[in-house]
Amino acid sequence: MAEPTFDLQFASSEDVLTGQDNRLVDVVDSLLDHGVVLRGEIWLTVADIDLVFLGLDLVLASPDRMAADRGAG
Amino acid sequence: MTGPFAEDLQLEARDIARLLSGAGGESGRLRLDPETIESDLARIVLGLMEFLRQLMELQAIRRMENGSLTEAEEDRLGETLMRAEAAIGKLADQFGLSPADLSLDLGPLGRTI
Amino acid sequence: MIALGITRAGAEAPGPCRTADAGPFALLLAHATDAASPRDRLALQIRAARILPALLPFAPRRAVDPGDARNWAQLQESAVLAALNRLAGTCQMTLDLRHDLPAPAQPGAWLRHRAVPDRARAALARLPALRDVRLGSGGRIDLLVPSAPERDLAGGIADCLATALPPGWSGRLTGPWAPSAFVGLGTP
Repeated sequence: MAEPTFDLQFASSEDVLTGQDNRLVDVVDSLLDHGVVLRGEIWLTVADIDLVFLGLDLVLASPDRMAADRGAG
Repeated sequence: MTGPFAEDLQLEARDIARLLSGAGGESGRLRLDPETIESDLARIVLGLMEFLRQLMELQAIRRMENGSLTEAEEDRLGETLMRAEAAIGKLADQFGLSPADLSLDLGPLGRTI
Repeated sequence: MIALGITRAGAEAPGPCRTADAGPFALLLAHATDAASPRDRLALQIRAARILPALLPFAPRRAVDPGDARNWAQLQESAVLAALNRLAGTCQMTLDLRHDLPAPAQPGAWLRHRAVPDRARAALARLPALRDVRLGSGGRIDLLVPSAPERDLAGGIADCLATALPPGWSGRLTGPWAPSAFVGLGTP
């Protein structure tokens, strides 16, 4: 019996970033959201007016951290 | 380095942070327009539902790979998760949303830090 | 200026980026004109990650203010230093698994079909060439590898998957990327 093989294609980061291959767009798209996120926040905006702010840092900040932020800012 | 067989799925504050940060795109704003308000709202709600469904699916898979499920349990879990996926897909379709529109990628799943 | 990530103090970045020391770290910075779009920021991070001894990349979707970056890093100095040590000399490859046939309709078989990416992750985690392996969603698996990976990394991965996975699956490997799926840091 033949050894099993696995079809693995390779594309370098340059190929992915400069190429026109639509199948590679998803790769880039997900990379854009990975990495360190300093603050989780989003505005719900209607007619260019920011109505509601959803933020994570305030919910989670300790009193110490809030004080440090204010001092540093 | 995490172990090869992660048991617990943890959702941490930074995952939610990434979700919020990514959902608003580059501007950090989720613009709700009168013409698209229904699908805008559906995208938020269905995206969260799909994310929870994926977490359940991964937990089911981990249980199965551990050998802790009977065949009948595998069938029942599979059936429920399949139907959940179909139901979310159908709702998304009604709002003109593709599966990609619902992808709330929270980064690595099943972390064990 | 826009902050693209954090590296070690004293590290030199390739142009058009530069570094600015901030206590025990340095910020990787670029002019707003060079780093205007998320793709620009991603491309600059890749170039910098090849030269810098270690890089904690910021998620490129948002442009990060250098002052915010400095505050964030200094507020969790020890965690940032530990992450820099953990990721020193590494880069990220990403693997996207695909299956071209429709998923099985029988529920148990469907669940086992869905288990394939996680099984691939478990098999890859045993490869010595890979420092860490993480499962993403939709068949994505991120691989942490040394910056100078062994010559036939793709061959080793393909061999591993050939024995670990059922027939009908294929994959695409892309990279090297900055190790963004492995930073394990964010909003404290």
